[in-house]
This record gives sequence, C-alpha cells and structure tokens, in this order.
Amino acid sequence: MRKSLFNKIILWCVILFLLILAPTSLDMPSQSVVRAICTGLAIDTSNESGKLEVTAQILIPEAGGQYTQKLSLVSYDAKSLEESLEMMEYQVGKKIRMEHCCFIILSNAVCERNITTILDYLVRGNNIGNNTLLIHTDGKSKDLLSATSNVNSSEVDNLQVISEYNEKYLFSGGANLLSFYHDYLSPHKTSYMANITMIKDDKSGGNGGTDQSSGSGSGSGSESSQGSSSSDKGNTQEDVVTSDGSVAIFYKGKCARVVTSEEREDFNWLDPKVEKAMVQIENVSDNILKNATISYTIERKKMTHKFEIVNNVPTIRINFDLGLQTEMVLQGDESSLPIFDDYINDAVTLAFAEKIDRAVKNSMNIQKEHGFDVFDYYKEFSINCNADWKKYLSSLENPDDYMKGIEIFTEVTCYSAF
Amino acid sequence: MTELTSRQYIIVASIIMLTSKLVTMPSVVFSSASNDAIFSVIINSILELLLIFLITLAIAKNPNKGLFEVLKSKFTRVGAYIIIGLIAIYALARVTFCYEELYSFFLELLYDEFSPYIFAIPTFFVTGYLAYKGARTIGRTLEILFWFILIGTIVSVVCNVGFMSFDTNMPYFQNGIMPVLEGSGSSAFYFGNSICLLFFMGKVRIDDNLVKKTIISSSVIALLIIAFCFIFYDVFGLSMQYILFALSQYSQYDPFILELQRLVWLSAIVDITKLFCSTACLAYCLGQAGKTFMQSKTTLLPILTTFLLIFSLATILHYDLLVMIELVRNYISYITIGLITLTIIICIILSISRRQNAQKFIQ
Repeated sequence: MRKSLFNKIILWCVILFLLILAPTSLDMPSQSVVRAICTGLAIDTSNESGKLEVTAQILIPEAGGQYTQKLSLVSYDAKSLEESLEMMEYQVGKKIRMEHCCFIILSNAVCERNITTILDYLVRGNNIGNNTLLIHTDGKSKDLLSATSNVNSSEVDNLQVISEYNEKYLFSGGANLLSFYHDYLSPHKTSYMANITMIKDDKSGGNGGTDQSSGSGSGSGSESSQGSSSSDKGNTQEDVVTSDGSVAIFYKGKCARVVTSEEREDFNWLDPKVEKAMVQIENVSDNILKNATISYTIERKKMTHKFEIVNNVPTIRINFDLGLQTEMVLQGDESSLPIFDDYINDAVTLAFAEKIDRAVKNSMNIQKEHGFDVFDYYKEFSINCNADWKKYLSSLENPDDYMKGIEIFTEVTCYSAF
Repeated sequence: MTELTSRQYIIVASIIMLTSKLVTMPSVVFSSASNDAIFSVIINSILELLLIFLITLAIAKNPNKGLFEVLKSKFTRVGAYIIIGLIAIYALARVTFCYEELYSFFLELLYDEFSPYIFAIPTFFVTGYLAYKGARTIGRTLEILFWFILIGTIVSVVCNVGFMSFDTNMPYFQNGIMPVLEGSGSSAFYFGNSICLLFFMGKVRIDDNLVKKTIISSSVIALLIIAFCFIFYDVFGLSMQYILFALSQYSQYDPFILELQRLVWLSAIVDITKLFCSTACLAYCLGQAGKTFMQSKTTLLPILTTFLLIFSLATILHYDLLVMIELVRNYISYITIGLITLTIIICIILSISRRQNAQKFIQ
C-alpha cells in the first residue's frame, strides 16, 4: 500500500499543485483589466517651474477587442518622470506598462538640461525596451504625440517609418534609448537624435477628417481622447508629422544644436553610413559644356580614413571614392543637350572635390564650435595612434576641447557607377 | 553502476558550462572590466577548460568508485567530508543563484508580478524531480534537448551580428591589465560550475576517447560563450552597464525587431529551458552531496533537505538577484577561485596516483 502511494507521488504532487495554484489563478483578474499599454511618451517642461509635463499615449486593451480602440492621451505635471507615470496610473485606474512604448518625444525646452537625469528612471527599470526611439522636436512634444495618435494602431507607426527611412539616406539620428546612452557614456559624449516637427496642413472643404476632440489637455491630470486636427467651418487644419532631415545633436546629455537640413547635407559627406545621395554640381566648364549644371546620383560612396598626429596636430585624411550616375545636364536655359551616359571627367571631379571639401570644413567647424564629436574621432585616434593621442590630450588645457585642434583633408575620386 | 554514457556525460558537461553564463555573467564582467571584459571572459573560459579536462581525467581514471570513496582513499574520511562539504556549499550557492536568475528572468520576460513562492513550487518540483530521478534521467533528458538548446543559442547569438561594428570597445587595455584581472576574479563564480561534475564520478561509462571528446565539445561551447560575449559587448558598448539580463535584451536590440516580435519567443522558450536543465544538473549534484553527508541509501530525503536549504537561502535573500550578484562579485567569486584551485590540485592527485597504482599493479 505504502509503495503504491509512493509510486503515485507525481500524481499526488500534480493534484496538490492544482489545489494550490488553480484557485489563485482563476481568481486573478485578466491583464486587460489591470493594465494600460503605453505606446508613446512625450516630455515637455511644465508651466510650473521645475516641473515636467509628461504625456503618455495609452491604449486600454479590451478583451476580445479588434485592436481598433482609440489611443488616449494622459498628462501629468510632476517633478520627475517617475512621479508623473505613477500619478497617471491613479488617473487611468490601471497600471501603465511601457513594454510597447515605441518612442519618447522630447521638446527643445526639456533638452536644455541633461536629459539623462530625466530618462534615468526608464533606463534603470526593466519596464521599457531599450530600443525605444528617441525623438527631438522644436515645438511642444505633446502636440506631436497627439498628431501621431491619429494613426490607426494596427498600422506601422509613422515616426518609426520616418526614422528608419532617414537612417538609410541621411545623416540622421535613428537613436534609441540604448544607443543614446552608449554615446553619452563614451569619451566623446556626443549623441544625436532625429528632429521631427509638425506642420499645419490647410485643407479647404472635404470631409474634415475624423471627428476628434482637442488633444491638448494641458495641465495637471488631464485626460483627453486623441486628436490631431481641428475643424472650423469647412476648412480643415490637419497636423502632419514631418521630418526635414534636421538632427538634434546632444553634448553631455544636453541639446547643443539642431543641425538644419542644409547643414545636415554637409554632415552626410562625413557619415560612412550614408551611401546614396543626389548631388548637383554647378558651373561645370570644359571643352564640351560651359557653366553647366549637372545632377548626379551617388550610387556608391566609399570612404578611406587615415588618422595621424603630425607635430601634435591630429590630422584626418579622407579619401572619397564616388560611384556616380549622371541624372540631369542643364546648360543655360537649355535642357535638351545630348545625353551623356557618364559625364565624369577631371572638371567634374574637381567640382566634387571643392564641394566636398567645403562641406566637410563646414561640418567640422560646427563640431569644433560646440566641441562635439559626432563621428567618434576620439576612438579612431585612440585606436590608430594611441600614444600620440594621449600626448595631444594632455597638452590641452581642457581635454574635452580636443575637436578644436583636429585638421581634416579630403581627396576625391569619381568613377562611373556602371 | 554506470548511469551515464560518454555521450550523455559530454552533453551534461556542455550544458552545465553553457547555460548559466548567458544570463547575468556578461554584465557582471563588464561592470568590473569595462571595455576589456571580453579578455576576462577568455581567461576564465581557458581556466574552465583546464578544470573540465582535469575533472574528466580524474573521472576516467577512477571508473568504478563514487566521489566519496575515491576521496576517502586518498585524503582520509575527514578529508573527503571536508572536500565534499566545500563543493556542496558552492553548489548550494550556485543552485540558489540559478533559481534567482530563473525567477528574475521570468519577471523580465513573461510576468510583471509573480510571487517567488508561487514560482518556487512548480520550479522546485520539476528540477527536484529530475534530480531525484538521478543521473540517467538527467542525461537522457539533456540528450533530447541538447540540439534544441544549442541551435536556439546559436540563433540568439547570430541575430545581432548585423549590428556589430567590431571596434565599439576599442582601444583595449587603456587602463592596463588590472581591470581584466578584476573582471576575471569577480566572475569566477560563473566559471566554477564544472566542479559539480565531480559528483558524476563512478557513474560514467568510460570510453577510450572520453577526455578528448569532452575537451573538444567544451572548447566549442567555450568559443560559443566567447562569441556571445564579444557580440554582446560590441553591440551594446558602454550602455552595457544598464543591462542586467544579457539574453532577454539580446533579441531586442534592433528597433524594429521588437515590433515584429521575431525573437522574443526564442528567449522565452530556449533560454528558460536552458536554465531549467542547468539548475536540475546542479541540484542533482547538491543532492548527491547531501546523500553522502546523510549517509542515506535513498535519494528522496537528501533531495528534500537540499531544496529546503535552497528555499531558505533564497528566502533570506528575498529572491533579490541584485543582492546575490553583489555577494557574488565581492565575496563568493574570490572564494570560488580558491575552490577551483583546490579542485585542480585534487584532480591532479586523483589522476596521477591512480596511474601510479595501475603501474605498480602491472609490475
């Protein structure tokens, strides 16, 4: 008898576990009842000094729902992000979970201080994914968040789409929480993120978009349904989320400068990740053309760097190998010139060399002015000429100003992409 | 009586070596060695290979006797108890650590709020049952799961190769060799698992090439661990200091992977299976130590006692992994270095003296 009972020990254990665990499991409320899902976060400075206005874009799941629930915005002004999120939970009556938070939008005013002091709570906690995108905006981040709420939750988020696209074609900040921190902790202390703005697109007549209440909901403890457009008498002003390719550059955690789209084109040349671009060369003159304007697509861009320290001056020599495809040739007012399949010669190469040299010098001047090191030349010099680099740093009054002494030279080789 | 085939022993050694290093070890090493963390991992992996080689050699040279008998014949009864006691203390700390890792991993990956006591009931039961059933059951279970675990781990490792830049942590040795040694010292606890293999002494069917095969497979596993750490350090760089669970973060780096939920399931299934297997192996070894001390003929009582000890220790530490990691980094790892050294000496003695006896017998 005793042996028989012992042989069935597994069965008894399973029954015991069922008796212990089943009632508690059945008694637990479903997760959709106790949770609200945060899909995006906006951080602004509050009207009250020293406080932050934190807005969360939340989705309250419904059991058996079709994922067509509206996104809601919840705001709270508090001294810290942690406090804001906690107070929002009281408002919503649910625990706000951040695992599905795709992006955090930071307004320019917030970025005037070291944002790592704000984000520290998120990074240390296990609640949020480290791949959450960081986005800078010139205006109010809450408005941008409100505009993104217009997107159906079943579609791909448009902010991510913009960021992903920009990363391939522009020097832009596809920065996520983790990469931002990595750059912040590196010796160069320079991080960057995409600057995305919102414009009002006037549309007369029409359906007037979706019926939405205002998404502003400012002030402590406000909750509002999402909205990104306002209708008034047939004219519709629709908020459009857009990126002109400008990039916010952070130094020591603070936004040091927003690089405009024109300046960004200069940075594009120095970024090895940007391989494709459309470039227009003006005033090309040779035995065939005179003061012509030629457009090229850069199909391939190969950069070879040489880092050296000559007489205690850090020097970077960059050799650009450009695979070009001629797209358009204009001479004066005429556009119907014979088609040149590959109009690449010394004059074009020279024009490219001058353009690149100018662009590189401009971007370096911006970096030197603010002391930031976007392309991590610190590491490159440390790897290539460690001893001389240390000597150079020790010779500086403030080693953080190492960018000011760096000289950069370029060489360009152009060839047909075909 | 042999309970494990050579193949099963090799798989057990590989699983014990592999699984428990991929959760918190990379972060712990990085916190001490910073950019040079990969060198600490390499040094410790080499030392662990040496340890596995000597333990397997000792097992091969003493084929038909259990650990206690072999130790008793060389170091007297008291000596044998002391040695097994030391190894048992290490195994107790290691199993408790594994449970805390497993619990924290559940919290990180699957559940927000989950009572450690509710967690303890089924996990203790599953691992305890495996430990109770003995080496043969463990060997067979791991034999079935091995390829699943290995392929899952390789996929986890490979998924982030695209984000590598290979020079993220360069230049190395900026602060000399000391951070590397400090990293090695503070993480030795993770690399001492193989000591528990001693409890399989007398239970393995000895083939001619057992030592050679074990070393080859362990080398492959060591390379996999080094590759894992290298990719991990390269992808995450200095932001490593904000990451505790290497495995769960590993599949979530790509901003667009998380949206698609491509590989989170892989971590959820494979990595938890790995941790369960590893914990069961270590719990078995601890149970064997308990059996020796209690001089019990059955396994049930030592296993129950063992799990009572693990539960008590975990409760004292409030199932808080961070507390345990602090203890490991500051104290337990350095004690483990001593234990590893002692084990190496013991294994050399066991291997050499047995050979001398055999030679005498031949003469």
